Amino acid sequence: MIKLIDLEKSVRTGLNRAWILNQVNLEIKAGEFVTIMGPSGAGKTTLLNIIGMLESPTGGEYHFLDEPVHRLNERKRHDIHKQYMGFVFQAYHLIDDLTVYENIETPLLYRNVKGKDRKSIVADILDRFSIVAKKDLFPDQLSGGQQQLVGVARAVIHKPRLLLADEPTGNLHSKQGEEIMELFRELNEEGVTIIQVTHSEKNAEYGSRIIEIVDGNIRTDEQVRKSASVYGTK
Amino acid sequence: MLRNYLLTSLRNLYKNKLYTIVNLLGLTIGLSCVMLISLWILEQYSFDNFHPNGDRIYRVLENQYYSDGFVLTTSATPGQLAASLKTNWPEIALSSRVTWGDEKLFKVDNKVFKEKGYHADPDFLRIFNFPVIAGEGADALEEPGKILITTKMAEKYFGHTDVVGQMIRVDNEREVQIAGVMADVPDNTSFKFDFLLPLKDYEKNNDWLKNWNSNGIRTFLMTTPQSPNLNEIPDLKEYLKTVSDQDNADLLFQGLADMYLRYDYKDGKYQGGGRITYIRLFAIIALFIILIACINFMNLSTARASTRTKEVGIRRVSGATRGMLIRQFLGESLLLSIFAGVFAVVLVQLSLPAFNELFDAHIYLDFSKVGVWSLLLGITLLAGFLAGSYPAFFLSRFQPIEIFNKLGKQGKGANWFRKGLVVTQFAIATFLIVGTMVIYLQMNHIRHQNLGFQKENFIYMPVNGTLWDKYDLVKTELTNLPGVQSVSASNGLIYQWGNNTSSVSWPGKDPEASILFQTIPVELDFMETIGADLVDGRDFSAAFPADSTNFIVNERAAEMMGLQQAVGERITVQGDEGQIIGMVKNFRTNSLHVEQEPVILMHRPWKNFIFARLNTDDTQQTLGQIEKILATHNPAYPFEFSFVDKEYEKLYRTEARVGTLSRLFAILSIFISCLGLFGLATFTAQQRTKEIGIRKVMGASISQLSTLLSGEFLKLVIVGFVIAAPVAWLVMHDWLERFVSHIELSWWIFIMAAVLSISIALLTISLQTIRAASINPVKALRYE
Ligand SMILES: Nc1ncnc2c1ncn2[C@@H]1O[C@H](COP(=O)(O)OP(=O)(O)OP(=O)(O)O)[C@@H](O)[C@H]1O
Ligand SMILES: [Mg+2]
Repeated sequence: MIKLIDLEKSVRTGLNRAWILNQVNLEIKAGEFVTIMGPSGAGKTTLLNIIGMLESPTGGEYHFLDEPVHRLNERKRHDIHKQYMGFVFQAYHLIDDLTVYENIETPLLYRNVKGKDRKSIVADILDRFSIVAKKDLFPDQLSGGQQQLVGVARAVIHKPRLLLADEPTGNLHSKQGEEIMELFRELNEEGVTIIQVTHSEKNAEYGSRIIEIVDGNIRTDEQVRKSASVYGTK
Repeated sequence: MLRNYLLTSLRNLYKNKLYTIVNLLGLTIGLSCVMLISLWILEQYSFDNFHPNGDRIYRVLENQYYSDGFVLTTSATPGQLAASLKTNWPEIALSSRVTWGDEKLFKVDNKVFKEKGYHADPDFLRIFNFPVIAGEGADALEEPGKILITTKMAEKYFGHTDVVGQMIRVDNEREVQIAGVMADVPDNTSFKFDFLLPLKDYEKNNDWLKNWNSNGIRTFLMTTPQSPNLNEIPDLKEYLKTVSDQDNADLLFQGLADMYLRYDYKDGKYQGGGRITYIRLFAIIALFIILIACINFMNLSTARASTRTKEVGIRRVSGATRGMLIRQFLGESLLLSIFAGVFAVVLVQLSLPAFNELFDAHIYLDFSKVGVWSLLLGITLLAGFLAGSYPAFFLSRFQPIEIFNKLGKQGKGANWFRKGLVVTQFAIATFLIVGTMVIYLQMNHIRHQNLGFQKENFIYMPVNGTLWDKYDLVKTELTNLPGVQSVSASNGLIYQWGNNTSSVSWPGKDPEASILFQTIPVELDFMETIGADLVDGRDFSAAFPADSTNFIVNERAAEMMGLQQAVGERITVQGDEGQIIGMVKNFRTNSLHVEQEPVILMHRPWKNFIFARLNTDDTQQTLGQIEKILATHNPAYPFEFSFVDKEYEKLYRTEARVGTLSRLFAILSIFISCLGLFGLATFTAQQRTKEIGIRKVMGASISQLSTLLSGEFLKLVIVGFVIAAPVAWLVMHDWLERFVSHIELSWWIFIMAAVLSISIALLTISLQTIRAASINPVKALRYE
């Protein structure tokens, strides 16, 4: 599904060039549940953002489902991003002025899903995540764990093939964190490819593969166990 | 403390450059408009206010009631009225007749010029305060042979003002003695003159002054100090009926203060209009504009509040009371408004010449006057207070705990208030757009009205000196010019072609009927020269000697006489009987403010104006040739001519001026509104950066985000339009009613106004919204 070849990300700092990511080679197959770990400032978020097409690499190749992303234009990248990806943030990033229901509905609005369909899709997910009772509340009326639940619901509402999560439990108690991880596992079992960044060993155990990044480079890459479900060959 | 406040204020203004510039620009423009308009209004109110006994001075008006319901209110009065009122009414201390304004040719040595002045009775200088600085005053007006001139005129002819006793030649026919020199008349007077001649002089050539039934001169009165308001004396009102045959007329006395501002009579009563209407109009516009500018300030300050809540919190924790904070924020807005005030004064000073030209005003900033200073300062401080009050109370209301808890969040109330303000701004702007469009279309309509005569390529020349004696010769020579189509002459022109009379009888006339006709003495070829169409019969002709007693009527006259077949009927006009030989299509004899008049044309000698219809090609050369011909036959007088279409425009000068100004102010108010919208859009975009980032990650495209951001502003603009449209409809409907012929207020004017204000608003915010929508989501979300 994802193939990175000699991927680079560098920034100018004054006269010098600093590499945030350097010579990253990585292949991720559909259905995997990958955990990215590493010290702070190692470049984890940057890698995730590049995979999520929120940032562009400065060198190397990025293939997503056989498409050479590094050669596509902005518009095409936006389309792929829209069609295949969902995001979960450490800081939840819900829209303050919208209710839980409206927050979850947002991605569907940008995918031109019809009103009636939207309703049933959102109702399904509210039900599945057991937050039906909260649907008319605003984000600041929810606990952190509940907010992240909404964040995950919003990230998967449009049935993305790839879920990207940057420290999704970073702001949560371990109990709440576990809940989210359970949810990720379920989603992965349903076929969603997941890439998460985390500092927690415990969370890493939910995944099938752990990649450690240090100083913009892949230090280790180990298969923890077999992926829950692997379909497709890439 | 003060220093601390001032420093924070200045630093704050400096740090938020966009905010400061938007506010400063808006306030400066707003203040300049208000200052200009205030100065103009003050000037208007100062008209004729320098006469010490102003409250005892009246102008006499006469209401004439006709059987068709028409009431003519006129300031033209009989020549005997002034003296008779003074003699018979103890309440009236002084009275004077004044002509309408005469142009005379003066000559001293080889200096020959035309000057404007009046013929007046001696009391004129006792009623009005026009100081005489040398020689005789009022007494000089007792008998013919003397003249009073202004300093300016003395300088012009003699090079000095020590001219009492000198002779000056008038109209190339007689010498008069300069009996006194007067101070130049100020700009703010209804009487503009450089000389005064005794009315007795005028009387010699105008026998009708002796006739109680001829109205043709103005009468001014001054009462005794004890006298009540003249309008409250019932017998005085009916006085005309006792001394003259004018039994359909009564008198009306207009106070001097109202003469300039409130001349608007219909059905014999004051209708509430006159120049005062435009004063009110522009006062409202001034208010609107300053309001819009202040709204910008309130909007931006409250929008920016989130960035200042922290400062407020810290100040309050350090012991500042709410009052102190209010003072600080008010001080800040006052500081800004004072900066704006200074810029505005400069702007006003720079734009005054253009403004005076446009308005025909004589305003200047006289900095030696305390009044001017206090006016400017007053306006500035008022704007500062108005703008600063809400933000001050809003910002100081925050409780420190609240602020630290939810930094960056604001109450929903402020949001609503802000939205309301934007709606107000755009409602005002839309109103002005609609108003401007309607005025423009109506003026256009007037310009292209079918007047019944062709006003283009049509010139007139006043008959000066002895020119009339050579009319036939002049006419032949003019007509022989290749550039001249035809030549004729008449007593008057455009809006006062002739005289009014109700002394007309026709077959089958109801004996009770009294209808006011306009009678126009004309020369041969009148119809062809003015370009009017004959619908029946024929024009006057040299081939029919009897035509000197015959008449031509217009359609309206035939209709009012109730004649099916007017041509051929015999009618009597002012005692002279004759046959109607032709009927002419109605042509405009007055402005479009009033109904078409019934007109009777007659072929009588003595005319005031020669007309010529020119060919379109090489007008300049033709004019040169005409000048030459007139110079040979009338060498003492300079060549004078005017294009009728230009004069016609002058009839609607006030409306045209109002049109230009409303356009200007509409543009300015829209500009200021947009400044505010721009600032607001910028802040909103900043505030919503995070939200935009999230939406982008969720898959929103740039165009979707721009639509989202713009949509909210557009909603406000549309609500503003919805509020303004009905108000604009009512007001403009009312305005159009003043014209007999006017455009319809059709819906597309409103659609256009809506499209215009929406597109301008869109354009204003598009830059900000597109920039906000294009933001890199990673950046927007990275640093929370
Ligand atoms: N736009 C940028 N300009 C300059 N430096 C950047 C930029 N973006 C990221 N960096 C730097 O690149 C490095 C990697 O950043 P990144 O956010 O990917 O780290 P991370 O591994 O996610 O760290 P953390 O665990 O703290 O989230 C950091 O040192 C960061 O300061
Ligand atoms: Mg990170």
